[in-house]
Amino acid sequence: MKSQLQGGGAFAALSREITEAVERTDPWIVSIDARGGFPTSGVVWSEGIVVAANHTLVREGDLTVRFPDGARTSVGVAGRDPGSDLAVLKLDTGKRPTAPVDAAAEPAAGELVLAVGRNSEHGLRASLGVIGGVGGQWQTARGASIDRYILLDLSTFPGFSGGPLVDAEARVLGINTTGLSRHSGVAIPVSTVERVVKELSERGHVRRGYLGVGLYPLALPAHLRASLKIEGDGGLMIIGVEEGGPAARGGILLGDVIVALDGKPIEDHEALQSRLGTESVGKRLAITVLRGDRLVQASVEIGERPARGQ
Amino acid sequence: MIPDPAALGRDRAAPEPEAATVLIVAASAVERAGLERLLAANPGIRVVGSARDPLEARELARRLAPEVLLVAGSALLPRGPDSGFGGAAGVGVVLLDREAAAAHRGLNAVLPPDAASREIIGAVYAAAGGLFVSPAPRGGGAARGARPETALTAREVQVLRMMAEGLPNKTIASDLGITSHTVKFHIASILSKLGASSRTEAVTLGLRRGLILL
Repeated sequence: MKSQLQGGGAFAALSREITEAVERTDPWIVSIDARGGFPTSGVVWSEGIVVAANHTLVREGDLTVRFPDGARTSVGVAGRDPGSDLAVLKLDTGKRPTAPVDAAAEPAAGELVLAVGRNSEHGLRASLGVIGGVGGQWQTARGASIDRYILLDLSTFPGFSGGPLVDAEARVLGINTTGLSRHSGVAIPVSTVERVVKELSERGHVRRGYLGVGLYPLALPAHLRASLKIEGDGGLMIIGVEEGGPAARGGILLGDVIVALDGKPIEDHEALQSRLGTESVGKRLAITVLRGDRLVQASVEIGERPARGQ
Repeated sequence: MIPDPAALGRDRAAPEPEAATVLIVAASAVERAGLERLLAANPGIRVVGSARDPLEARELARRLAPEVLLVAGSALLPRGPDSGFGGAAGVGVVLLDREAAAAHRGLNAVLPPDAASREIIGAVYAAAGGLFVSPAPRGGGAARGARPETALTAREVQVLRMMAEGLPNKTIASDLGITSHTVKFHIASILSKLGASSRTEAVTLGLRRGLILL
Protein backbone atom coordinates (compact mmCIF):
# COMPACT_ATOMS: atom_id res chain seq x y z
CA MET A 1 0.00 0.00 0.00
CA LYS A 2 2.80 2.35 0.91
CA SER A 3 4.47 2.09 -2.48
CA GLN A 4 1.22 2.95 -4.19
CA LEU A 5 1.20 6.28 -2.42
CA GLN A 6 4.71 7.05 -3.70
CA GLY A 7 5.34 8.24 -7.25
CA GLY A 8 4.69 5.74 -10.04
CA GLY A 9 2.27 3.42 -8.29
CA ALA A 10 2.46 -0.35 -7.87
CA PHE A 11 3.70 -1.11 -11.38
CA ALA A 12 6.70 1.20 -11.06
CA ALA A 13 7.42 -0.15 -7.61
CA LEU A 14 7.34 -3.72 -8.87
CA SER A 15 9.64 -2.77 -11.72
CA ARG A 16 12.11 -1.16 -9.32
CA GLU A 17 12.11 -4.22 -7.11
CA ILE A 18 12.77 -6.51 -10.04
CA THR A 19 15.64 -4.34 -11.24
CA GLU A 20 17.09 -4.29 -7.74
CA ALA A 21 16.82 -8.06 -7.45
CA VAL A 22 18.72 -8.50 -10.72
CA GLU A 23 21.39 -6.00 -9.58
CA ARG A 24 21.88 -7.93 -6.36
CA THR A 25 22.87 -11.03 -8.33
CA ASP A 26 25.53 -9.14 -10.29
CA PRO A 27 28.55 -9.75 -7.99
CA TRP A 28 28.40 -13.56 -8.12
CA ILE A 29 27.39 -14.41 -11.69
CA VAL A 30 30.27 -15.07 -14.07
CA SER A 31 30.47 -15.52 -17.80
CA ILE A 32 32.30 -18.58 -19.13
CA ASP A 33 33.68 -18.93 -22.63
CA ALA A 34 33.85 -22.66 -23.26
CA ARG A 35 32.43 -23.04 -26.75
CA GLY A 36 34.04 -20.54 -29.07
CA GLY A 37 32.21 -17.26 -28.94
CA PHE A 38 28.97 -18.32 -27.29
CA PRO A 39 29.52 -17.56 -23.64
CA THR A 40 27.51 -19.28 -20.96
CA SER A 41 26.75 -18.47 -17.32
CA GLY A 42 28.16 -19.71 -14.03
CA VAL A 43 27.58 -19.01 -10.35
CA VAL A 44 30.25 -18.37 -7.70
CA TRP A 45 28.83 -21.01 -5.39
CA SER A 46 31.44 -20.88 -2.66
CA GLU A 47 35.00 -19.65 -2.30
CA GLY A 48 37.06 -21.16 -5.11
CA ILE A 49 34.08 -22.94 -6.72
CA VAL A 50 32.08 -21.90 -9.78
CA VAL A 51 29.07 -24.02 -10.80
CA ALA A 52 27.98 -24.24 -14.45
CA ALA A 53 25.82 -26.40 -16.71
CA ASN A 54 27.79 -29.40 -17.97
CA HIS A 55 26.35 -29.39 -21.49
CA THR A 56 27.48 -25.82 -22.13
CA LEU A 57 31.15 -26.57 -21.36
CA VAL A 58 32.15 -28.06 -24.68
CA ARG A 59 35.89 -27.65 -24.12
CA GLU A 60 37.64 -29.60 -21.40
CA GLY A 61 40.41 -27.06 -20.74
CA ASP A 62 41.35 -23.47 -21.48
CA LEU A 63 38.01 -22.03 -20.42
CA THR A 64 37.88 -18.30 -19.81
CA VAL A 65 35.94 -17.16 -16.76
CA ARG A 66 35.01 -13.48 -16.67
CA PHE A 67 34.13 -11.93 -13.34
CA PRO A 68 31.75 -8.97 -13.02
CA ASP A 69 34.70 -6.73 -12.09
CA GLY A 70 36.29 -7.45 -15.46
CA ALA A 71 38.95 -9.89 -14.20
CA ARG A 72 39.55 -12.97 -16.36
CA THR A 73 40.91 -16.37 -15.43
CA SER A 74 41.71 -19.36 -17.59
CA VAL A 75 40.74 -22.71 -16.02
CA GLY A 76 39.89 -26.35 -16.79
CA VAL A 77 36.82 -28.31 -15.77
CA ALA A 78 37.37 -29.83 -12.31
CA GLY A 79 34.41 -32.19 -12.45
CA ARG A 80 31.38 -33.05 -14.54
CA ASP A 81 28.12 -34.84 -13.86
CA PRO A 82 26.21 -35.46 -17.09
CA GLY A 83 23.44 -37.03 -14.98
CA SER A 84 22.44 -33.77 -13.33
CA ASP A 85 24.00 -31.57 -16.05
CA LEU A 86 26.22 -29.82 -13.50
CA ALA A 87 29.93 -29.05 -13.73
CA VAL A 88 32.40 -27.50 -11.31
CA LEU A 89 35.31 -25.17 -12.00
CA LYS A 90 37.95 -24.62 -9.34
CA LEU A 91 39.61 -21.25 -9.44
CA ASP A 92 40.78 -18.40 -7.25
CA THR A 93 37.65 -16.35 -6.61
CA GLY A 94 39.47 -14.07 -4.18
CA LYS A 95 37.36 -12.08 -1.77
CA ARG A 96 34.41 -11.89 -4.15
CA PRO A 97 30.96 -12.53 -2.72
CA THR A 98 29.38 -15.95 -3.17
CA ALA A 99 25.78 -16.67 -4.09
CA PRO A 100 23.24 -16.45 -1.24
CA VAL A 101 21.57 -19.84 -1.46
CA ASP A 102 18.31 -20.73 0.19
CA ALA A 103 18.51 -24.45 0.87
CA ALA A 104 15.29 -24.37 2.89
CA ALA A 105 13.28 -22.62 0.18
CA GLU A 106 9.97 -24.22 -0.76
CA PRO A 107 9.36 -22.98 -4.29
CA ALA A 108 5.70 -23.02 -5.30
CA ALA A 109 3.98 -23.08 -8.68
CA GLY A 110 3.16 -19.55 -9.76
CA GLU A 111 5.88 -17.93 -7.65
CA LEU A 112 7.48 -14.96 -9.43
CA VAL A 113 11.11 -15.73 -10.21
CA LEU A 114 14.01 -14.42 -12.25
CA ALA A 115 16.47 -16.34 -14.38
CA VAL A 116 19.72 -14.40 -14.62
CA GLY A 117 22.76 -14.99 -16.78
CA ARG A 118 25.85 -13.13 -17.92
CA ASN A 119 26.82 -12.61 -21.51
CA SER A 120 30.48 -11.50 -21.57
CA GLU A 121 30.41 -7.96 -22.90
CA HIS A 122 26.76 -7.21 -22.55
CA GLY A 123 26.47 -7.78 -18.85
CA LEU A 124 23.53 -9.39 -17.11
CA ARG A 125 20.52 -10.84 -18.84
CA ALA A 126 17.34 -11.46 -16.96
CA SER A 127 14.05 -13.15 -17.65
CA LEU A 128 11.03 -12.73 -15.43
CA GLY A 129 8.53 -15.51 -15.15
CA VAL A 130 6.90 -17.92 -12.80
CA ILE A 131 7.67 -21.36 -11.53
CA GLY A 132 5.54 -23.39 -13.91
CA GLY A 133 5.27 -26.38 -11.64
CA VAL A 134 6.90 -28.12 -8.72
CA GLY A 135 7.16 -31.86 -8.21
CA GLY A 136 8.92 -34.33 -5.98
CA GLN A 137 12.14 -36.22 -6.52
CA TRP A 138 12.75 -37.23 -10.13
CA GLN A 139 15.18 -39.23 -12.19
CA THR A 140 16.94 -37.70 -15.17
CA ALA A 141 17.30 -39.73 -18.34
CA ARG A 142 20.95 -40.22 -17.41
CA GLY A 143 20.20 -41.71 -14.04
CA ALA A 144 20.76 -38.80 -11.67
CA SER A 145 18.31 -38.26 -8.87
CA ILE A 146 17.12 -34.65 -8.54
CA ASP A 147 15.56 -33.77 -5.20
CA ARG A 148 12.76 -31.64 -6.59
CA TYR A 149 11.27 -30.94 -9.98
CA ILE A 150 11.17 -27.20 -10.72
CA LEU A 151 9.65 -26.40 -14.10
CA LEU A 152 10.38 -22.93 -15.47
CA ASP A 153 7.90 -20.70 -17.25
CA LEU A 154 10.14 -17.93 -18.57
CA SER A 155 12.25 -17.33 -21.64
CA THR A 156 15.40 -19.36 -21.94
CA PHE A 157 17.74 -16.82 -23.50
CA PRO A 158 21.10 -17.97 -24.97
CA GLY A 159 23.65 -18.52 -22.21
CA PHE A 160 20.86 -19.04 -19.67
CA SER A 161 22.01 -22.54 -18.65
CA GLY A 162 24.31 -22.48 -15.63
CA GLY A 163 22.78 -19.24 -14.36
CA PRO A 164 20.73 -19.00 -11.18
CA LEU A 165 16.99 -19.04 -10.60
CA VAL A 166 16.35 -16.41 -7.93
CA ASP A 167 13.33 -15.41 -5.90
CA ALA A 168 12.06 -11.92 -5.18
CA GLU A 169 14.75 -11.51 -2.50
CA ALA A 170 17.50 -12.44 -5.02
CA ARG A 171 18.18 -15.68 -3.19
CA VAL A 172 19.21 -18.68 -5.29
CA LEU A 173 16.51 -21.35 -5.64
CA GLY A 174 18.48 -23.43 -8.12
CA ILE A 175 20.68 -23.58 -11.22
CA ASN A 176 18.88 -23.34 -14.55
CA THR A 177 19.45 -25.65 -17.48
CA THR A 178 17.85 -26.56 -20.75
CA GLY A 179 20.01 -29.70 -20.91
CA LEU A 180 17.81 -32.05 -18.89
CA SER A 181 14.49 -31.77 -20.70
CA ARG A 182 13.87 -31.38 -24.38
CA HIS A 183 10.67 -29.50 -23.77
CA SER A 184 11.46 -26.81 -21.24
CA GLY A 185 13.99 -25.33 -18.90
CA VAL A 186 14.22 -26.70 -15.39
CA ALA A 187 16.04 -25.54 -12.27
CA ILE A 188 18.21 -27.96 -10.31
CA PRO A 189 17.34 -27.31 -6.67
CA VAL A 190 19.95 -26.05 -4.21
CA SER A 191 20.08 -29.27 -2.17
CA THR A 192 20.94 -31.31 -5.29
CA VAL A 193 23.52 -28.74 -6.44
CA GLU A 194 25.23 -28.84 -3.04
CA ARG A 195 25.38 -32.63 -3.05
CA VAL A 196 26.76 -32.79 -6.59
CA VAL A 197 29.25 -29.94 -6.03
CA LYS A 198 30.65 -31.73 -2.98
CA GLU A 199 31.20 -34.95 -5.01
CA LEU A 200 32.61 -33.12 -8.03
CA SER A 201 35.05 -31.00 -6.06
CA GLU A 202 36.28 -34.01 -4.08
CA ARG A 203 36.39 -36.62 -6.86
CA GLY A 204 35.74 -35.04 -10.24
CA HIS A 205 32.77 -37.32 -10.83
CA VAL A 206 29.60 -38.35 -9.01
CA ARG A 207 29.64 -41.87 -7.62
CA ARG A 208 26.58 -44.01 -8.27
CA GLY A 209 25.64 -47.27 -6.64
CA TYR A 210 26.05 -50.45 -8.69
CA LEU A 211 24.78 -54.02 -8.45
CA GLY A 212 26.23 -55.38 -11.69
CA VAL A 213 22.99 -56.84 -13.03
CA GLY A 214 20.92 -56.57 -16.21
CA LEU A 215 17.23 -56.39 -15.40
CA TYR A 216 13.96 -57.02 -17.18
CA PRO A 217 10.76 -55.48 -15.80
CA LEU A 218 7.81 -57.76 -15.27
CA ALA A 219 4.37 -57.76 -13.73
CA LEU A 220 3.87 -60.09 -10.78
CA PRO A 221 0.80 -62.35 -10.79
CA ALA A 222 -1.80 -61.31 -8.23
CA HIS A 223 -1.89 -64.69 -6.47
CA LEU A 224 1.85 -64.54 -5.82
CA ARG A 225 1.67 -60.97 -4.53
CA ALA A 226 -1.09 -61.97 -2.20
CA SER A 227 0.44 -65.22 -0.93
CA LEU A 228 3.92 -63.73 -0.41
CA LYS A 229 2.67 -60.30 0.73
CA ILE A 230 4.63 -58.43 -1.94
CA GLU A 231 3.77 -54.73 -1.85
CA GLY A 232 4.50 -53.73 -5.45
CA ASP A 233 2.77 -54.80 -8.66
CA GLY A 234 5.99 -55.48 -10.52
CA GLY A 235 9.56 -56.62 -10.13
CA LEU A 236 12.85 -56.72 -12.00
CA MET A 237 14.06 -60.09 -13.23
CA ILE A 238 17.82 -60.62 -13.29
CA ILE A 239 18.73 -61.54 -16.86
CA GLY A 240 22.44 -60.84 -16.58
CA VAL A 241 24.89 -60.96 -13.67
CA GLU A 242 28.36 -59.47 -13.84
CA GLU A 243 30.81 -62.11 -12.65
CA GLY A 244 32.33 -61.11 -9.34
CA GLY A 245 30.09 -58.02 -9.25
CA PRO A 246 28.33 -56.77 -6.10
CA ALA A 247 25.11 -58.74 -6.73
CA ALA A 248 26.98 -61.96 -7.59
CA ARG A 249 29.02 -61.66 -4.37
CA GLY A 250 25.78 -61.22 -2.44
CA GLY A 251 24.41 -64.52 -3.78
CA ILE A 252 21.95 -63.07 -6.30
CA LEU A 253 21.23 -65.60 -9.08
CA LEU A 254 20.05 -65.38 -12.66
CA GLY A 255 16.31 -65.64 -12.75
CA ASP A 256 15.82 -63.97 -9.35
CA VAL A 257 13.20 -61.23 -9.40
CA ILE A 258 14.04 -58.17 -7.30
CA VAL A 259 10.91 -57.04 -5.47
CA ALA A 260 12.28 -54.88 -2.65
CA LEU A 261 15.37 -53.07 -1.44
CA ASP A 262 15.72 -52.53 2.31
CA GLY A 263 12.05 -53.44 2.68
CA LYS A 264 10.80 -50.85 0.21
CA PRO A 265 9.19 -52.13 -3.01
CA ILE A 266 11.15 -51.97 -6.27
CA GLU A 267 8.79 -52.17 -9.22
CA ASP A 268 10.83 -50.73 -12.07
CA HIS A 269 14.26 -49.51 -13.17
CA GLU A 270 13.54 -45.94 -12.07
CA ALA A 271 12.76 -47.06 -8.53
CA LEU A 272 16.00 -49.04 -8.34
CA GLN A 273 18.10 -46.22 -9.83
CA SER A 274 16.72 -43.73 -7.35
CA ARG A 275 17.90 -46.03 -4.54
CA LEU A 276 21.38 -46.39 -6.00
CA GLY A 277 22.56 -42.81 -5.42
CA THR A 278 25.96 -41.70 -4.13
CA GLU A 279 24.97 -42.37 -0.53
CA SER A 280 24.35 -46.07 -1.30
CA VAL A 281 27.96 -46.79 -2.36
CA GLY A 282 29.68 -49.12 0.11
CA LYS A 283 26.51 -49.75 2.12
CA ARG A 284 25.20 -53.24 2.76
CA LEU A 285 21.55 -53.41 1.75
CA ALA A 286 18.95 -56.16 2.04
CA ILE A 287 17.59 -57.15 -1.35
CA THR A 288 14.41 -59.21 -1.42
CA VAL A 289 14.14 -61.48 -4.44
CA LEU A 290 11.49 -63.84 -5.67
CA ARG A 291 13.25 -67.15 -6.34
CA GLY A 292 10.91 -69.75 -7.75
CA ASP A 293 7.80 -69.37 -5.61
CA ARG A 294 9.33 -67.99 -2.43
CA LEU A 295 11.03 -64.84 -1.20
CA VAL A 296 14.73 -64.90 -0.41
CA GLN A 297 16.70 -62.16 1.38
CA ALA A 298 20.16 -61.38 0.03
CA SER A 299 22.60 -58.99 1.65
CA VAL A 300 24.53 -57.05 -0.97
CA GLU A 301 27.32 -54.54 -0.48
CA ILE A 302 26.55 -51.86 -3.06
CA GLY A 303 29.51 -51.21 -5.37
CA GLU A 304 30.42 -48.13 -7.38
CA ARG A 305 29.20 -47.93 -10.95
CA PRO A 306 32.27 -48.19 -13.18
CA ALA A 307 32.91 -45.24 -15.47
CA ARG A 308 33.75 -46.79 -18.80
CA GLY A 309 34.57 -43.43 -20.23
CA GLN A 310 37.44 -42.84 -17.81
CA MET B 1 11.18 -97.62 -19.09
CA ILE B 2 9.64 -95.16 -16.68
CA PRO B 3 12.00 -94.43 -13.80
CA ASP B 4 10.64 -94.87 -10.31
CA PRO B 5 10.03 -91.33 -9.14
CA ALA B 6 10.60 -92.12 -5.50
CA ALA B 7 14.01 -93.62 -6.25
CA LEU B 8 14.88 -90.65 -8.45
CA GLY B 9 14.11 -88.26 -5.62
CA ARG B 10 16.24 -90.18 -3.14
CA ASP B 11 19.20 -90.37 -5.45
CA ARG B 12 19.63 -86.60 -5.82
CA ALA B 13 22.36 -85.04 -3.72
CA ALA B 14 20.72 -83.02 -0.94
CA PRO B 15 18.39 -80.73 -2.85
CA GLU B 16 16.89 -77.75 -1.05
CA PRO B 17 13.63 -78.82 0.60
CA GLU B 18 11.71 -76.07 -1.21
CA ALA B 19 13.38 -76.57 -4.59
CA ALA B 20 11.32 -76.02 -7.74
CA THR B 21 10.26 -79.45 -9.02
CA VAL B 22 10.65 -80.15 -12.74
CA LEU B 23 9.52 -82.87 -15.13
CA ILE B 24 11.60 -83.11 -18.31
CA VAL B 25 9.93 -84.09 -21.58
CA ALA B 26 12.31 -84.89 -24.46
CA ALA B 27 12.25 -87.44 -27.26
CA SER B 28 15.81 -88.68 -27.09
CA ALA B 29 17.64 -90.18 -24.12
CA VAL B 30 20.62 -87.90 -24.84
CA GLU B 31 18.45 -84.78 -24.60
CA ARG B 32 16.79 -85.99 -21.42
CA ALA B 33 20.14 -86.72 -19.79
CA GLY B 34 21.57 -83.39 -20.93
CA LEU B 35 18.71 -81.32 -19.58
CA GLU B 36 18.66 -83.33 -16.36
CA ARG B 37 22.36 -82.71 -15.75
CA LEU B 38 21.97 -79.03 -16.58
CA LEU B 39 19.17 -78.59 -14.06
CA ALA B 40 20.65 -80.87 -11.41
CA ALA B 41 23.65 -78.54 -11.17
CA ASN B 42 21.35 -75.95 -9.62
CA PRO B 43 20.47 -76.56 -5.96
CA GLY B 44 17.21 -74.61 -6.26
CA ILE B 45 15.81 -77.05 -8.82
CA ARG B 46 14.87 -80.71 -8.37
CA VAL B 47 14.18 -82.95 -11.37
CA VAL B 48 11.41 -85.34 -10.35
CA GLY B 49 11.31 -87.36 -13.54
CA SER B 50 11.55 -87.41 -17.31
CA ALA B 51 9.26 -88.51 -20.11
CA ARG B 52 9.82 -89.30 -23.80
CA ASP B 53 6.37 -88.47 -25.22
CA PRO B 54 3.21 -86.48 -24.44
CA LEU B 55 1.31 -89.52 -23.12
CA GLU B 56 4.02 -90.46 -20.67
CA ALA B 57 4.40 -86.80 -19.73
CA ARG B 58 0.73 -86.53 -18.89
CA GLU B 59 0.84 -89.70 -16.82
CA LEU B 60 3.95 -88.63 -14.87
CA ALA B 61 2.68 -85.09 -14.38
CA ARG B 62 -0.42 -86.49 -12.74
CA ARG B 63 1.55 -88.79 -10.44
CA LEU B 64 4.49 -86.55 -9.54
CA ALA B 65 2.75 -83.14 -9.56
CA PRO B 66 5.81 -81.21 -10.74
CA GLU B 67 5.69 -77.40 -10.62
CA VAL B 68 7.27 -77.06 -14.05
CA LEU B 69 7.35 -79.06 -17.28
CA LEU B 70 10.47 -78.49 -19.39
CA VAL B 71 9.50 -79.61 -22.89
CA ALA B 72 12.02 -80.01 -25.74
CA GLY B 73 9.96 -79.40 -28.87
CA SER B 74 6.35 -78.32 -29.33
CA ALA B 75 5.42 -81.77 -30.74
CA LEU B 76 5.89 -83.15 -27.21
CA LEU B 77 3.47 -80.77 -25.50
CA PRO B 78 0.70 -82.75 -23.82
CA ARG B 79 -2.55 -81.51 -25.36
CA GLY B 80 -6.22 -81.61 -24.62
CA PRO B 81 -8.47 -80.41 -21.83
CA ASP B 82 -7.25 -83.06 -19.40
CA SER B 83 -3.55 -82.34 -19.82
CA GLY B 84 -3.72 -80.51 -16.53
CA PHE B 85 -1.44 -77.59 -17.18
CA GLY B 86 -1.12 -74.39 -19.15
CA GLY B 87 -3.42 -72.32 -16.99
CA ALA B 88 -2.36 -69.90 -14.28
CA ALA B 89 -3.37 -72.36 -11.59
CA GLY B 90 -1.78 -75.40 -13.22
CA VAL B 91 1.73 -76.53 -13.97
CA GLY B 92 4.24 -74.04 -15.41
CA VAL B 93 5.58 -74.91 -18.85
CA VAL B 94 8.90 -73.97 -20.40
CA LEU B 95 9.19 -74.91 -24.06
CA LEU B 96 12.42 -75.23 -26.02
CA ASP B 97 11.53 -74.73 -29.66
CA ARG B 98 12.71 -72.89 -32.74
CA GLU B 99 9.16 -71.89 -33.69
CA ALA B 100 8.54 -69.42 -30.92
CA ALA B 101 5.70 -67.76 -29.09
CA ALA B 102 2.44 -67.01 -30.86
CA ALA B 103 1.13 -70.54 -31.37
CA HIS B 104 1.78 -71.46 -27.76
CA ARG B 105 -0.25 -69.15 -25.60
CA GLY B 106 -0.34 -70.13 -21.98
CA LEU B 107 3.29 -71.26 -21.92
CA ASN B 108 5.41 -69.55 -19.29
CA ALA B 109 8.43 -69.28 -21.57
CA VAL B 110 9.52 -70.32 -25.05
CA LEU B 111 13.28 -70.48 -25.54
CA PRO B 112 15.32 -71.40 -28.61
CA PRO B 113 16.77 -74.97 -28.46
CA ASP B 114 20.27 -73.49 -28.21
CA ALA B 115 19.39 -71.33 -25.18
CA ALA B 116 22.16 -70.93 -22.63
CA SER B 117 21.84 -73.02 -19.48
CA ARG B 118 21.39 -69.88 -17.38
CA GLU B 119 18.46 -68.88 -19.58
CA ILE B 120 16.81 -72.28 -19.13
CA ILE B 121 17.38 -72.16 -15.36
CA GLY B 122 16.03 -68.61 -15.20
CA ALA B 123 12.93 -69.63 -17.15
CA VAL B 124 12.34 -72.68 -14.92
CA TYR B 125 12.53 -70.50 -11.80
CA ALA B 126 10.16 -67.99 -13.37
CA ALA B 127 7.68 -70.69 -14.41
CA ALA B 128 7.72 -72.21 -10.93
CA GLY B 129 6.77 -68.80 -9.62
CA GLY B 130 3.92 -68.49 -12.10
CA LEU B 131 5.70 -65.81 -14.16
CA PHE B 132 5.67 -65.42 -17.92
CA VAL B 133 9.01 -64.44 -19.42
CA SER B 134 10.58 -64.05 -22.82
CA PRO B 135 14.26 -64.31 -23.76
CA ALA B 136 16.14 -61.02 -24.00
CA PRO B 137 17.58 -59.97 -27.35
CA ARG B 138 21.22 -60.97 -27.33
CA GLY B 139 23.92 -58.38 -26.87
CA GLY B 140 27.60 -58.78 -26.33
CA GLY B 141 28.24 -59.91 -29.89
CA ALA B 142 26.63 -63.31 -29.41
CA ALA B 143 25.25 -64.03 -32.84
CA ARG B 144 22.72 -66.56 -31.57
CA GLY B 145 19.26 -65.54 -30.48
CA ALA B 146 15.61 -65.50 -31.34
CA ARG B 147 15.76 -62.07 -32.94
CA PRO B 148 19.22 -61.74 -34.50
CA GLU B 149 18.22 -58.66 -36.49
CA THR B 150 17.78 -56.67 -33.30
CA ALA B 151 20.81 -58.01 -31.45
CA LEU B 152 23.36 -55.32 -30.68
CA THR B 153 27.02 -56.01 -31.44
CA ALA B 154 29.56 -55.96 -28.61
CA ARG B 155 30.76 -52.55 -29.79
CA GLU B 156 27.23 -51.20 -29.91
CA VAL B 157 26.57 -52.37 -26.36
CA GLN B 158 29.77 -50.60 -25.31
CA VAL B 159 28.67 -47.38 -27.02
CA LEU B 160 25.16 -47.67 -25.53
CA ARG B 161 26.64 -48.01 -22.03
CA MET B 162 28.74 -44.90 -22.59
CA MET B 163 25.66 -43.05 -23.86
CA ALA B 164 23.96 -44.07 -20.62
CA GLU B 165 26.72 -42.29 -18.72
CA GLY B 166 25.84 -39.15 -20.64
CA LEU B 167 29.16 -39.00 -22.48
CA PRO B 168 29.21 -36.89 -25.65
CA ASN B 169 30.18 -38.45 -29.00
CA LYS B 170 33.60 -36.80 -28.89
CA THR B 171 34.48 -38.47 -25.59
CA ILE B 172 33.09 -41.84 -26.70
CA ALA B 173 35.20 -41.59 -29.85
CA SER B 174 38.45 -40.74 -28.07
CA ASP B 175 37.93 -43.39 -25.36
CA LEU B 176 37.28 -46.13 -27.90
CA GLY B 177 39.96 -44.88 -30.28
CA ILE B 178 37.52 -44.44 -33.17
CA THR B 179 36.32 -41.40 -35.12
CA SER B 180 33.24 -39.36 -34.22
CA HIS B 181 31.84 -40.40 -37.57
CA THR B 182 32.04 -44.06 -36.58
CA VAL B 183 30.41 -43.28 -33.23
CA LYS B 184 27.50 -41.64 -35.06
CA PHE B 185 27.24 -44.70 -37.29
CA HIS B 186 27.08 -46.98 -34.21
CA ILE B 187 24.47 -44.76 -32.58
CA ALA B 188 22.28 -44.74 -35.70
CA SER B 189 22.44 -48.54 -35.74
CA ILE B 190 21.65 -48.74 -31.99
CA LEU B 191 18.62 -46.46 -32.38
CA SER B 192 17.34 -48.46 -35.32
CA LYS B 193 17.83 -51.84 -33.65
CA LEU B 194 16.16 -50.73 -30.43
CA GLY B 195 13.43 -48.81 -32.26
CA ALA B 196 14.38 -45.64 -30.39
CA SER B 197 13.91 -42.11 -31.67
CA SER B 198 16.48 -40.43 -29.42
CA ARG B 199 19.57 -41.15 -27.33
CA THR B 200 17.48 -40.83 -24.20
CA GLU B 201 14.95 -43.35 -25.44
CA ALA B 202 17.74 -45.71 -26.49
CA VAL B 203 19.17 -45.60 -22.97
CA THR B 204 15.75 -46.26 -21.44
CA LEU B 205 15.12 -49.20 -23.78
CA GLY B 206 18.66 -50.51 -23.21
CA LEU B 207 18.00 -50.52 -19.46
CA ARG B 208 14.72 -52.39 -19.89
CA ARG B 209 16.42 -55.02 -22.01
CA GLY B 210 19.14 -55.52 -19.47
CA LEU B 211 21.88 -54.28 -21.82
CA ILE B 212 22.84 -51.50 -19.43
CA LEU B 213 23.80 -52.91 -16.05
CA LEU B 214 22.64 -51.34 -12.82
